Amino acid sequence: MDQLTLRAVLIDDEQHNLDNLSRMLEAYCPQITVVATALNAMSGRVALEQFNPDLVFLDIQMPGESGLDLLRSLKGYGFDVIFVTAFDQYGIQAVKLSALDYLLKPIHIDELRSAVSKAISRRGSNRAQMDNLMQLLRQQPRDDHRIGLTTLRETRFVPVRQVIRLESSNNYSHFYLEGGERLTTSKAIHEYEDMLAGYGFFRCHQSHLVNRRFVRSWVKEDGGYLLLEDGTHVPVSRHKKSAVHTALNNG
Amino acid sequence: MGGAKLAWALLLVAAPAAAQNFGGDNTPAPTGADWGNYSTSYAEPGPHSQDPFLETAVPYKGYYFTAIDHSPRVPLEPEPSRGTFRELNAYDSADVYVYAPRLNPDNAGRFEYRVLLDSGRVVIPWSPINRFTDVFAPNGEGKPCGLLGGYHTTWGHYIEAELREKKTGRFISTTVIYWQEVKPALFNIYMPDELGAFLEMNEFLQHLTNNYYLRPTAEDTLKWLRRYARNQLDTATGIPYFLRLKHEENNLVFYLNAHIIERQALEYQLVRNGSTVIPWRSNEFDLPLIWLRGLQTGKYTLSMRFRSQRHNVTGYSFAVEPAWTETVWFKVAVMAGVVLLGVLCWVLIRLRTRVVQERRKRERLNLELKSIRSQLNPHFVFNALASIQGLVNNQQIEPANRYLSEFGRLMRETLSGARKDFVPLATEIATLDTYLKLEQLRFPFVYHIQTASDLPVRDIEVPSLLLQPLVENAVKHGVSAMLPGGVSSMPSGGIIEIGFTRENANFTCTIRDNGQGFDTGAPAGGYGLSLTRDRIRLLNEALDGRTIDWRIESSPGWGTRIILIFQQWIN
Repeated sequence: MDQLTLRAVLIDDEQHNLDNLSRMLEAYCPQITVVATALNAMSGRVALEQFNPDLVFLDIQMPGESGLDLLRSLKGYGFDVIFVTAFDQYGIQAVKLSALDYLLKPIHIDELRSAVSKAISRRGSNRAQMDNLMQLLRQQPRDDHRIGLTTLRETRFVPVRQVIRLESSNNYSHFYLEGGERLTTSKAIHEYEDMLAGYGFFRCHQSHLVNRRFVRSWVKEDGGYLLLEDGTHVPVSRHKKSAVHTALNNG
Repeated sequence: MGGAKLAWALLLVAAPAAAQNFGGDNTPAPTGADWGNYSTSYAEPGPHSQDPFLETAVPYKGYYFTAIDHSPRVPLEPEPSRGTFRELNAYDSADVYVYAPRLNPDNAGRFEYRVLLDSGRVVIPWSPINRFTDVFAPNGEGKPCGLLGGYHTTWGHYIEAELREKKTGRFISTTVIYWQEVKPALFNIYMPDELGAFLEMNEFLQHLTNNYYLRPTAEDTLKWLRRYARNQLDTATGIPYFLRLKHEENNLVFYLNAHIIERQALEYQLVRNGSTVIPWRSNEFDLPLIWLRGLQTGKYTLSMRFRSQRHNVTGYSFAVEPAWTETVWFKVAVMAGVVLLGVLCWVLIRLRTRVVQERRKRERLNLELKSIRSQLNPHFVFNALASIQGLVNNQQIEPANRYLSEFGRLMRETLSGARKDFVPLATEIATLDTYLKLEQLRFPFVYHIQTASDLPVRDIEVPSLLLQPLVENAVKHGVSAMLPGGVSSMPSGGIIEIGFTRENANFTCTIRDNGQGFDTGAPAGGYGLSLTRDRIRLLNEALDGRTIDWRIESSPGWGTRIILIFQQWIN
């Protein structure tokens, strides 16, 4: 097995964070060589051009130009990105929707190792994720937004509006798409609930997340269920009724 | 009636003070005013133009009518032997006066008269004429004339007055008065839309100017046949026996077969649904018609009579049917509608009030829940930081890193838990795990978290940080005081076991420590317990159908077990 070495650039607006991450990489991720660090987006851009790294650790929240702004300003990107953030904030949803890796501060050693090993194994193959992120960040019409679904075999980018519903079972989430296709991921349904909340999805049951677009009617018999355009019946939990009511009536 | 004429007369004749019964002997002299109440009729003078003849003054009293079809029913024929012959009807019960023009005090001695009842009974035998009027104006002679007296009899009988020449016994003149009973007779009824046609009616115009009896035309009959079966129509008049009018046909003309000259002659009364709406009154027109206007819904009887014969009443019944808005069904429907609307409003208001109350209650509960939502115990937070500081200062870099990121994760969960009321059970378990790891830095104890495999921990949602204070209690009051093999009888030191099991739609969380335990009968425990108690109480109120039951089992020396049963939590 090739012992690959990845050349990395770290971008963070706080020097001690840069130092800390450098040390951690040195200690726990010997495959990574830090070729440059940058304290803001502008110098980060210079470093990226100059060093053409394999991997970039990019802080999302930076004063002035954010990490995402920096990415947006680039014409192309031949590198993988591992985002670093202190707390859920603006932009993290786009990262999640694009199935990109991110680390939370303070950085957990195991998570760092896992992210790095993924970057090594799929090196250069996350262009689709990056493209999707860029699309989301470019504020295209929401109808064009896609979500990255990582299945056992691949990461598929599916237009959000084509997702009819999600159903969880045994810690998997099944995506039912327009056209009858089903994709299964290993993320929990509640994670998708957060991601898709802005796209008209709502939780009607502990195991079901539904796209409002595909709800034909709310049948109140038999404890209540939603009849979807594809003919499926999705149960409505008693304690989700008011949430379903709100979701179906607002907007 | 041959050449009989009607004339209005002003006679200065002696009039009776009281009605005579078949006698005229004591008739006082009439005044001019009295004669104003009579109409006189007289025959053409007979062939002997100088002969007197008999004339009558019929009670008139300012009105008059003739019912033209009622010719006298008298078995007497005009014969030359009777002299000038004249017969007429009296319709009033008052006396009819008989007098003789051209008979005056100068020639009175040549004549005598008698009065018979029904051609048989002698009322007045042959007698001389010895009373006279002063002037007899109508015949233009301007001279007094002989007065034979005033007479009346009962209805259906007649009085016959005869005048003859004493010397020869030749009959000069005969007059017969028949007391005719009469009731108003309907000719036809006209609806509002027919009034125009009615006024243009040829018969009507003719009737105003001539005294001839009207016969219904084909159109008169047809108009009723369009609305009624033949057997519902009066065979004589062709008018329905009982008239049913639509609501809008509330304007009717009843046209009588009579010659009304003055309105007082005709009287009518209108009764609606058994009560009189128009009491007996004189007609409004000098015409043989009664015009009823603005009739409301109801059953009516129109009674008509001639003033001179008030005992003879003609009744006619008809009904104005209710408009559809007046029908019972409509009223019932409207009433039902109103009641229904009221009930509906009431229900809606009730429902709305309940919804509002429910919402307010929920808002209140949520507010209270938020205010008592668990936060990490500050004591723990700073102790954990101090523990990590200790690791750093001991150069234990990797443990320090691990605990620091665990602490960060706990803080993150707490903070996002503060934004979300519910978190997946998996998250809550991870939080407990992180928390216990950090506490392990401070106290030597072991813990196990066991989750049943059939529990969908990533799907079930639980109130965030509900369990943390209880686990914290297990640490603080349970195992923290125990040293491995120390004061406690447990040789292995403190153990905390947390288990999650499932029973159908319910799941149970058990938190067990082997610490010193406490007396559950003692007054409310620490802050953590009372906080949890309040929170669960509020949650049970606010949650729809789901509940949390919980109990604490503890005894000194045995440890503590807290059991929480989440009822109907899994669906």
